[in-house]
Amino acid sequence: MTADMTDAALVRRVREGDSGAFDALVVRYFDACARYAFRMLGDRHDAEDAVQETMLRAYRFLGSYEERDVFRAWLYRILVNECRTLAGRRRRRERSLTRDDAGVHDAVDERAWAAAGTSGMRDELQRVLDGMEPLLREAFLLKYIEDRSYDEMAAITGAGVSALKMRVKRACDWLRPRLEVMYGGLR
Amino acid sequence: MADFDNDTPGDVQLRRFAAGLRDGAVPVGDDARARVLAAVRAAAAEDAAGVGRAAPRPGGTLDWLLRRRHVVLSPLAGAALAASLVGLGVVGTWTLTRDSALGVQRPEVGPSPDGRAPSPVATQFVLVAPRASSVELVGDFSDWRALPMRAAPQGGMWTVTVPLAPGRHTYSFVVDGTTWMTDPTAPLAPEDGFGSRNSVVMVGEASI
Repeated sequence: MTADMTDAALVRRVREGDSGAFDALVVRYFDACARYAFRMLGDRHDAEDAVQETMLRAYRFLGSYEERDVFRAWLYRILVNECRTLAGRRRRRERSLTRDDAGVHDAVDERAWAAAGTSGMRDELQRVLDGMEPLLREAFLLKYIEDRSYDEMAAITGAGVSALKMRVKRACDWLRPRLEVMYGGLR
Repeated sequence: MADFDNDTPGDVQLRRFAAGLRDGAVPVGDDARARVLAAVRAAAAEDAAGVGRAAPRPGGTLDWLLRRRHVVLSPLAGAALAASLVGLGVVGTWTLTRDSALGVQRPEVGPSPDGRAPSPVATQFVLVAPRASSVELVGDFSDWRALPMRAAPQGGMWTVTVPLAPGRHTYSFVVDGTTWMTDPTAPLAPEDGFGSRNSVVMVGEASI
């Protein structure tokens, strides 16, 4: 039954004390959040951490959600901030990571890819994406993977619409020569 | 309209790339979903038992959560690289205002005689890049979509004239379809947070 309810109705149920209604919101948005977090962070463990923390914060701070907002955009705002925070934490972590640690980390990730039904090799698409400037990646993912409008992206990221359009354009231009190499002149 | 709607090889590759990212498997699966559900339920149980944070109630604040985080990134060296690849220079033929960019040429704009909003001003952008095979103009006035610049018969000069509303605009040149570069003679806008800069042109005003 909760699967048929709107986001706003589910939020009202949670606020009225039915915490189980939040499960439906988690189920509804988990896949999209996991996809964004993984594409943004390029690491399964970080992505899982980001999604879990996002859902927990959304639950704990549901009182701050105002119904005039779109729940999805509100949730993405938390997710985007969480990914930014984790990416910063990871940069600090990587500075202290030894080569051996990195090898173990990669091996675990390869097993995760195999479990996800891929060839076991890290996704070539992800390799390309990982090389992109984080704010360009963020804008590209929100626009073309999560299919958000520029107005919604502005609400999510706090950046202006014009700046976001510029970032997406820069991202596309950055990708073109790299995709030419990767796809080998596909027509 | 997407940024890669055309049937060019580059646009086809971008569409394929985006579809792969959107539809491809990610290694975050059902076990992770179960852990997230368990964590949320545990938080709810803590609330019910009066432990930890209070249950969600309307009227709280999310200010700290929504506070913008500053991401510190290394500056891009793209503009410097581009400058090393192409010969640069700017040819100006129009009468310019004192503070205008030499690469942007436009007539002076007077106030509208009937008090209405000033009309757009034809503004010419010029870049000399003799080794480039294409140059495009992108800016906030085009929603950062590329406007092709026309090559002059000689001298490696590329130009385009665009009607701009009076006010401040930011723009860049895109050389050979991929390399962004600022106008070497125009003021720079503040960084956008990731080390990239754009040039600034003021239309219809004496200075920036």
